[in-house]
Amino acid sequence: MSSTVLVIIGLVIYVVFYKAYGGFLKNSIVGTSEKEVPSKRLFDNVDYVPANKYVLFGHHFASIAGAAPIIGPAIALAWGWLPAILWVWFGNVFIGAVHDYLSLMSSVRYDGHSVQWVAGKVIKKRTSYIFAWFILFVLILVVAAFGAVLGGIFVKQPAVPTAYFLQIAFALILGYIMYKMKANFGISTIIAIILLATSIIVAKFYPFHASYQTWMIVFLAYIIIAAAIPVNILLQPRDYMNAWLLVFGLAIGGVAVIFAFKPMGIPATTMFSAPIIAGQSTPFWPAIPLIIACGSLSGFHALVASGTTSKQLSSEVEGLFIGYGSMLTEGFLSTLVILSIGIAGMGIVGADKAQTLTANAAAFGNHYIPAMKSAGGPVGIFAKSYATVVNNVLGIPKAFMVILAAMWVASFAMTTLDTTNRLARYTFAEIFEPLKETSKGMYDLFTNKWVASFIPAAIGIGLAWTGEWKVIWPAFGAANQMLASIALMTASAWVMRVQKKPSWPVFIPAMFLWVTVTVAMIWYVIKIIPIFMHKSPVQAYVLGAMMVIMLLLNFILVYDFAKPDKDQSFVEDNA
Amino acid sequence: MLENFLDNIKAFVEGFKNQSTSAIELQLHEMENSFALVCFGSLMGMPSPPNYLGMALLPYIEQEIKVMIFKSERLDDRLAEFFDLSDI
Repeated sequence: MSSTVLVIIGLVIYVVFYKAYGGFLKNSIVGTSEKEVPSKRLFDNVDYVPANKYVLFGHHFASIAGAAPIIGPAIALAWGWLPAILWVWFGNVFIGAVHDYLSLMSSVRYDGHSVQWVAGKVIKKRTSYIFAWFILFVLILVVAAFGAVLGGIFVKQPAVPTAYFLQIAFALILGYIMYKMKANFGISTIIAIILLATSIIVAKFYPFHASYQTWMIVFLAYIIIAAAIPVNILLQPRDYMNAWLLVFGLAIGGVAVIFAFKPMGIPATTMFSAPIIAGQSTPFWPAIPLIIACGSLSGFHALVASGTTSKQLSSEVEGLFIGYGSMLTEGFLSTLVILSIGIAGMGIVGADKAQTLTANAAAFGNHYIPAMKSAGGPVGIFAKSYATVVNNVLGIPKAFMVILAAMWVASFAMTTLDTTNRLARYTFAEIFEPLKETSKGMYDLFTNKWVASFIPAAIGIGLAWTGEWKVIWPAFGAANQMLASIALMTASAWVMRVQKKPSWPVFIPAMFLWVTVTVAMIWYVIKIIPIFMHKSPVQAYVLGAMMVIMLLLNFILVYDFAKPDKDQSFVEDNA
Repeated sequence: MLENFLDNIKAFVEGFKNQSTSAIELQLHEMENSFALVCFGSLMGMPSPPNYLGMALLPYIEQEIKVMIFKSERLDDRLAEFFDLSDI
């Protein structure tokens, strides 16, 4: 099937479901409230400020779009492009976008409080603690997964680290131009784009070679140093350049894939249990949500939606466009990834490998992951495929586009790595709150800026040390999806107990996700951890312990959901 | 219609700009909080030396005090705000 037809089918599905299913959720589940939105009712000109809906959409989308919607689908292609794309499309419209939209709206109805706080109110107080523990596990595993994937691409594509570190240096210059010289927005943007292009061109001629383990040490140092640098010096200008990378990447890629008119060069389906995680037969169900996380649904989005977005929403009607709409846009990004690799992936793995892969569907399923590994892992195969498609359609030099695409993913992954330690500090404060009364010294130790930065970074990089991204990535997916499952249960409890509306559009996805991810985690602990144990015992014990704790918390969570606190007075007040 | 479309695209890009400045805004708010605490620590029972300075500033800072009190009620729920910076 032609990639152009698939893009159009994807867009049609998104538009139809946005209008029909999104409209149904808006009218029948969320309804309207007599109270004004928090941005107006609680206006303080600091946190609570009504924003234009397109501005808020841009802000929300930039916060939820990162490296994960690119990496996950690139791995899932081992099952064939059809299951991957169907999971992205339908996981998106029925689970991911519902999750984001309902998290946003429940937060709006609770004065802009976070979904974690709402969970403590509509389910049980301890649900809020369980939430915090899952957040901590996601933070550790995100360092491990992104670190491992990034290390792989830095070794295979030595131009990428040069481009990235040049981008950091240029970000410092841009920061100086923006803040010290007070250059206006237009000039800063032009300078940012020129600097970005320069970093890619220079990197082409000066690649930076280092071993995988060296990169792990560099990442650890970077994560800790980034916490100490004032945000306006490095992070803010760098994020601004990243946002442009995302806009260019999406716009150029979208146009190229739509006008490619190329048939998919890989099988639609391969086998139900393709060897994906640690080379073991990995069944599509229940493992798919562990592989494709953010492109289809992600628990982190609930936190973003209920953090800043809910305090800036200027009308409840716009919630659908921002919450549901921006998740569909992220799904479209994953669709582009699947299609890029689908039409150009076989041209870049080498003629002999391509011959083996395309021999038959089963051969593709069996040999895709090793072929992808030799192409630089999920980021490598995406960057090269994307560059080929853009080069064919728009004629932009392939070498330039490979570095741009790899840098696109690398920059987002690095942003995530360095914000993780800032987030960990606040998560620690939440988790160790009970220690405040009993052991003030311990509480102060864990919430200390450096200790809270170092613990998740060190455990994460320690897990990534083995380079086994195939093992670590699904663990990150599992923790993230469990977070989504709690957010969906919270939304479901809100719809049932507060809204008193039919809850099946939220309850069914919540239960489906809970069952799927729980089964997948049990499978992972029984099947994958013992294999990892043979290769790297220390890492396997740490990972296994985290997975077992998450599983236990998971059962407590569903028990609490079924038996919430009797005292619902607060809930009634806010209904 | 075209003008409207271009305005929307402009607003979308403005949103990107806002997202990348959110970290800096957060830092500014923290600095404002510290400033308010230094000037008006005595409001919450914290002995704070320059009371006369606080009193002189009081008429100009009414809104900030309201914001400070309102924010202090939400201090147990700031985690999600920080996730806005995470890009996952």
